Amino acid sequence: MSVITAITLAACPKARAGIKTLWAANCAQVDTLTFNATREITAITMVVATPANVFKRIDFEENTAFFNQAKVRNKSAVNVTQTISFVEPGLSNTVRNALEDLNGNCCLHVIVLDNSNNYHYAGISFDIESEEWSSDKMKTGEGSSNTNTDPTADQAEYIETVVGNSVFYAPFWTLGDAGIPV
Amino acid sequence: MADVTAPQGAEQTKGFKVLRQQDGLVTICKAGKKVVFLNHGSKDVDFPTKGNTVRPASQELLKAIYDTDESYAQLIEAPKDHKAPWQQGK
Repeated sequence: MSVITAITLAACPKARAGIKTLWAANCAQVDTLTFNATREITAITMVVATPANVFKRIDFEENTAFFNQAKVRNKSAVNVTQTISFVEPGLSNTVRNALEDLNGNCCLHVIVLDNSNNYHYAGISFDIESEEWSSDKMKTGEGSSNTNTDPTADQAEYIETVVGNSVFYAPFWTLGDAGIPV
Repeated sequence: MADVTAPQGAEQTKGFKVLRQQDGLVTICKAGKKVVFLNHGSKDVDFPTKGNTVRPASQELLKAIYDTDESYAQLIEAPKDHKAPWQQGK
């Protein structure tokens, strides 16, 4: 492909840092993703034979989470490492078990709502020439459970990450909150 | 003689079909500005979102989805004589 598309700066772009919410599902629940001509996801086909397994919402402490997509070029190839990091304040059996369950999935799809109200669909690679997509086997990465030390300055918390390698930045999801099967 | 029991426009909503007909598959997509659930099978599906039961897709729903966006032609086949709004001028 040898196309160059112009980039025009908006007068006041929506560029607020951070993420608001995550939704995660096991890859096996997603049968098909439909893309439009502008490479956005316009439909999702779910396997609903086991209805308990759909996207699960993951809330976290405000302004602690990020979605980073680090691009590197390796000779003629491009790789984007997608990392989602979030903090769960306080240590509890409920959150511990939820994190253990999340860690039990070796292939995740994650929808990320950022603080500029963009929805990113992480954990897949989309080939624009063949118009085919595949799962990236995104899974949890490094994390911690930490009581911390100073009650006047710190808090006890879990930190969790979800990491995957994709062919490019995550495509955008057009169905909003209402279209996420939870 | 015309069938007076048929609703107006019924002729335009015949012949749409889901390309992948399979029980246990549900697509979440849009019909106009509304998010809708498209059942690919012939049986009701209990979809957990807000306790919905998703019935097999009607012709009206298939047409509404198909007309919404060109990408939905990957999901639904329209009758040959149907022209969606996104096909106007093509």
